[in-house]
Parts: sequence; C-alpha cells; structure tokens
Amino acid sequence: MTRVVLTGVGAVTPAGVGAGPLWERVVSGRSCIRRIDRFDPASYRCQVAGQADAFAAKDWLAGRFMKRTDRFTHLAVVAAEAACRDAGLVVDSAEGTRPERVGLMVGNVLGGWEFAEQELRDLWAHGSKEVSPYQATAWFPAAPQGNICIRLGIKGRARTFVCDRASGAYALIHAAETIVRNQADAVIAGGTEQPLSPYAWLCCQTGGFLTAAGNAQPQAAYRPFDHRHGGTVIGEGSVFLVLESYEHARGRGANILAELTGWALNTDGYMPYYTSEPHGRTLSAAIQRSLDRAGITAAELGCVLADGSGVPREDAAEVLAIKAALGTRAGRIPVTTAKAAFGHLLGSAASADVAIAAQMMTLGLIPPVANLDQPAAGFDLDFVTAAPRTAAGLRHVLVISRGLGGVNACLVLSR
Amino acid sequence: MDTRDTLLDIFSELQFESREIDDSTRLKAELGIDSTELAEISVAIEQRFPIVVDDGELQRLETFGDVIKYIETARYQQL
Repeated sequence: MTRVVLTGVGAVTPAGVGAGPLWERVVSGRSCIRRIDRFDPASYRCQVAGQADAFAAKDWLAGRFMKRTDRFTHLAVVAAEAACRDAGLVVDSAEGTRPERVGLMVGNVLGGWEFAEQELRDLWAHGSKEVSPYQATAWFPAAPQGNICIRLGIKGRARTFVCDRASGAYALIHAAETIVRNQADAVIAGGTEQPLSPYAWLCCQTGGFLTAAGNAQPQAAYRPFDHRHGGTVIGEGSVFLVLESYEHARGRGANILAELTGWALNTDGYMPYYTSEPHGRTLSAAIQRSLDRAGITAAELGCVLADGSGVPREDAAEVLAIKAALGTRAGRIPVTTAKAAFGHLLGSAASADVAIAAQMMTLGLIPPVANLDQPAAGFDLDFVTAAPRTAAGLRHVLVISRGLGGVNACLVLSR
Repeated sequence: MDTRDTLLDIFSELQFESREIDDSTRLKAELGIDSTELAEISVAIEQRFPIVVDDGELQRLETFGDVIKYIETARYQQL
C-alpha cells in the first residue's frame, strides 16, 4: 500500500512565524496566551487567547490581495507557501510536480468573521453600496483553499473540512487517503483559524467550551488535565504540512520528516450534541483502529499527544479512552499535549500537533504540558510535566483530535 | 485635483501601485482587474465624482486613460 510521508511544515501561530518558534514555545512549557487586544474583551466571559502578534500580513502580502481577503486567508496562504518551500515542493509541469497531481486539504471552523463583521456593520449603517464586493469570497470557509490553489497553481483535488476542532485532522486524513488512492502525489494539508473578532468570539462563547477562569492570569488559563482545568483557550494561526507518497518524495530527493502510518475517524453520536460520550468508548475505538492501521500495538507506542481540550468532561473522557485503548500499557506511555502553550488553533490544531509530533521524534524529546501542576483526580496517566522528557528512539506518536458533536480523529505518526 | 489625480488617488486607496499606472496602462491585461475589482472602482468613482457610472460601459473600457475620458464625458453630460 502507498505510504504517506511528511516532507514540509509551514506555521504562523501565536508562538511566532515558523515551525521553529512553535517548537521552542511548546518545549519551554510556558504559555504565550495573553489578554485579547484585537477588540475589547471586557464584556466576554473568556478574555484571553493566543494571538499571532508576530504576523503582520502587510509584511508578506500585497495590498490588493489583502483588501479582498480576511486574515484567516492571510495566515493560510503564508503558512502553505512556507510549507512548500520547506519541502522543496515545486508545483509545475516542467520543473516539478504536475499541478493535477497536487492537492490541498484545509480545516477551518469559523470562516472570516473579522472581514464579514465590518461589512455587516456598513450594510446596516450605510446601505448595501458600502459593502465590499469581496464580502462573499472573503468570509466563506473555503476562501483559503481557493486562494492557495490560485497562488500555487494547484489543480488537483482540494477540499475544506468543517467539523469543529477536528476539522484539521479531517483534512490531514483525507489528504493521506487521497495519496493512498493514487489521486495525488502530494497534498498540502492543514488548517487555519482567526477567531479574534467580536462576533466570532461571541460564537465561541456560546459554544460553551472556553474557560472563564483564566482572565486574571492569561498564561495560566489553559490547563489541560489539571485539577483546575476549566475549559479551552483558543488562538489564531495556520499550520500546513506537505504530505506525499513515499515514492514521490524519494523520487525527488525530498527530506522525509516522518511517516503518517495510521489514522481513524469516528463519531460519538451522543446526546446532547454538545457533549461527548463521557466514558470515551468511541474515542477508544478510534485510537485502537489507528494503531491497528499503523500496524503497531500499545507496547510499541512511544507517546500520546493528546487533544487536551481542557474542558473537564472532555479531559475525563479522553483519559478514559486512552486507558481503555492502551490497556496495561496506559500508565507507562508518556502523555503530553501542546496546545496549552499557544492556544487551541481550531481548524489548524491537528496540523500543529502533527508538526510538533514530528519534531518530537526528530529530537527524541517530549515537551511538557503547560500548566499541568496536578492532574485531576483519577487522571493517572504518565503525564509529562514541568520539563521536557528525553525519549531517545521515539518512533511512534499518537495524535488525538476531537470536536464538538463527538467527532474523534486519531493519527499515528512514525519515524 | 484634476480628474487624473483624483483617479490615481482612488487607485492608490484601492491598493494599486500608482507608479505602475499611466494613461496607456491596460486595466485587464496589465493590471489584472477583474469584474469584482471593477465594481469597487465604480463605487469609488461615484463617491469622488458627481456622476453615475454605467457599469456596462465601464467594463468595456481598455485603459486608464479611457477611464479618465469616461469620467470627464460623464461629468459634462450629467451636468
């Protein structure tokens, strides 16, 4: 069967521009989450977020492109192009990979509300003539997909996935399956999100998963698995990966960072829709199937890079699922999660996690969970806390990504 | 400001590089202006000049100089 390998990473996140700053932030164990300053957060319950402040779109993109796109497209375009440069992937019939054999898969949740809100205000205040003609194409979640394909000349399969915080994982898995089915030689896959505008933030607030307990100390706000966990903290950002068939990567002499050896998707289907199945049984099945696909047992798994939403009932279900799937090995496999250091990037969360998992294996180092001072009662997994843990010979990492409505996605990355 | 300067100002506000533009500059072939950007230009012209723009006529114009002539003709005709 066709093997799927990772050959490039591009990242624009609250940690900075580039995959390097993202890794440095995560391994430090210190969070860069801060009080929101893109709008006045005072009237919201959660007033903190991960902001990609180091990224000024005008330093990267022409004004004529920026005026017709939202920031979530700016982030995506820069990250996707960086991933291609990192992989040395050239989309060109003569000089590189044929455009028809390159695909693009994008995860996104919210679309471009910063742009859209301004136009809606203009509509009601001044009338329809004041609304930008780019409103429709700027807001909709597939805008990054369209713009990246145009800019990079991609003519293969492209799709945008919207399934809450697992959107990016769906994009990665569909990219892998597209390659396995020989429908593409390379797929740029990842996600993008920019939730920092008043209306988008209100949507997130009513979603019920943001923490309200972190406003006084933003850096301590996001506490996955900690006894004082109280919800998620989200952030803006975009991480894209270049996935290719092993043959295509070898054929062009690409540097292979890791291999995507296993994946699985399922859905809790649990009522009420905004909860997840509390015993983690469905997630446990997804974990098991992803390991089976990777051809490894729990004994061979080196680390779990957990979803770590920080929502108490979700943390609990995830712990139960990991324990059920890993059986007697559960207490001896290191478990970490990266999001607390920079924020949950929603549509881009899974691609950020895979990039981090690849680096974990390259360096043989497992970063700690930021703000995990004391695991909640009954969370008796081997959490990596306080300092990074060396893991020479780390060969297989499980990445878990979950979304509202009980969406479960698991990926196994191997080296 | 005269018509040319005002139109250059409009294009600058719409993020065009004004050093790229003279009267012979072709709107579609050289500047890559599509129908959506033309709609933006049309609204901006109506905001800055006392004329009503016929979008059908505007989209048939070839060059920046043609737009200047169009505006000046419309100003005269719509007095």
